[in-house]
Amino acid sequence: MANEAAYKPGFWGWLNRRLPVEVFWRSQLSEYYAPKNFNFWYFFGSLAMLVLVMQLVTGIFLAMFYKVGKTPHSTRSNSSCARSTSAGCCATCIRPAHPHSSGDLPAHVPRHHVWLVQVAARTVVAVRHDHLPGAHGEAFMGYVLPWGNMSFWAATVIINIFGAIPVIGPGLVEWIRGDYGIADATLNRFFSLHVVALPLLLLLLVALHLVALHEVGSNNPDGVEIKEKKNAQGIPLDGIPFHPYYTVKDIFGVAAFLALFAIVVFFIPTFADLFLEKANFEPANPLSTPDPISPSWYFTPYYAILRSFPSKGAGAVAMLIAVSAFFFLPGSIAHRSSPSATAAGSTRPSGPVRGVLPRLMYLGLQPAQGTTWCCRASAACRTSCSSY
Amino acid sequence: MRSRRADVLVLIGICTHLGCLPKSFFDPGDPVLGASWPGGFRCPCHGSRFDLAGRVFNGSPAPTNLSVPPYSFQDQHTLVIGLDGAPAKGAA
Repeated sequence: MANEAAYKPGFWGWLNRRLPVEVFWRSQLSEYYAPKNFNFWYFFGSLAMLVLVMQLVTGIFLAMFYKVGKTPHSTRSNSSCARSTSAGCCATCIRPAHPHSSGDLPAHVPRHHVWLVQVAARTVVAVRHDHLPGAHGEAFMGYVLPWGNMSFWAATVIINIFGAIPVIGPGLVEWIRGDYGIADATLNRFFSLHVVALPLLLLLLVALHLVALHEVGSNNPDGVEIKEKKNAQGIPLDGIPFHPYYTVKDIFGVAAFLALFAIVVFFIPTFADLFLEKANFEPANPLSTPDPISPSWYFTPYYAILRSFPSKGAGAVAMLIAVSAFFFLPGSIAHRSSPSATAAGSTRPSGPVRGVLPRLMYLGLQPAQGTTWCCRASAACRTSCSSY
Repeated sequence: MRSRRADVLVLIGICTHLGCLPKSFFDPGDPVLGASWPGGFRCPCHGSRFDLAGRVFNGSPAPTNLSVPPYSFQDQHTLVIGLDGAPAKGAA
């Protein structure tokens, strides 16, 4: 795409000779052709971008109020989070908005399972999934920072999983914690990783993801490859420019999403203990594990897998396989994703989403009780094995 | 032998699975754990179950029994943790 703006007089030409703003705008938006038949699921692409920005903005303000506790028994971090909730009408929405929008970032993921994995893109989806582990690590470390009692015990459990590694496990656990138990050193390093290292990694991966997406182009519900039929000017016959058509569509999606989001943030911030658990409003207490314990809703499938194995090592390995399975999912179904196979039934969620994830999520939300333990274990094993 | 005295049990109260603190459910047939529950400890995190001596039940995620630390009784009423001693009279 020629940089015609560089030859224009005045400021616009001066700017474009140094920074190809207009070329970028045209290649990525106004002359970036997308299939004309995007449906509901494509809202989630722009919504993921929106919640990423919300994460950054709310995170900046939260970090202004955050104070890392001095000792593992200190309630300073917990009270600084509580203060940021009560410090004014604006802050009231920032504290719940941050974790809520983090929950919506992984919500971008099902769209790929539901749609793109089954529909087609063999190479892009691999790239599209690469931000998952980063998002999980970021969410986990952010969950620890309020230093509530659930934060403390989540950190204890998750870090102790590394202790299942033979030989180096116990030493590795101490190295991650920076102490003999979850302590001040752990909290400080999690703060650093959560606000600097992992966000940078996430932004890099999101940028790579967009580059990859715009290189191969989006798929569409009917599995039609729009790049195969172009007119004399090289414009796809079945495509329309992303701007203004899909920017307008996405603005509508954003408005609907923000309305729902505002209802949750302002009226039901804890969402019946599902988004913000009651136990996490109590300061961290190394002498009392909350009962029952429950992880964030988006971790519950992995939690169900972990506890369903009557062995520490097997549970940890199964959970690791479940997390890393997303890397191999696109390849494993590639042979089924020919264009002809994509048209019929392509709007149905793929197997892992339709069956296994909701079931594991439900099981993960149930308390670990002895009476139904075996039933849950066998059910979780069956679902996880049949999926992966 | 899990305890030096029949009336005192000394355990490290940290689950050997992933480090949470098991809760006491001493009553047999506890409503939470069912009619077959013989009494003992249950970990709230992943449901590991231990008997009244801290021995892990088969099928629990925890790989080993709750640990017994080195301990001894200086006299009838004084427990010393960290120092092993000879079994006291009436060991179980």
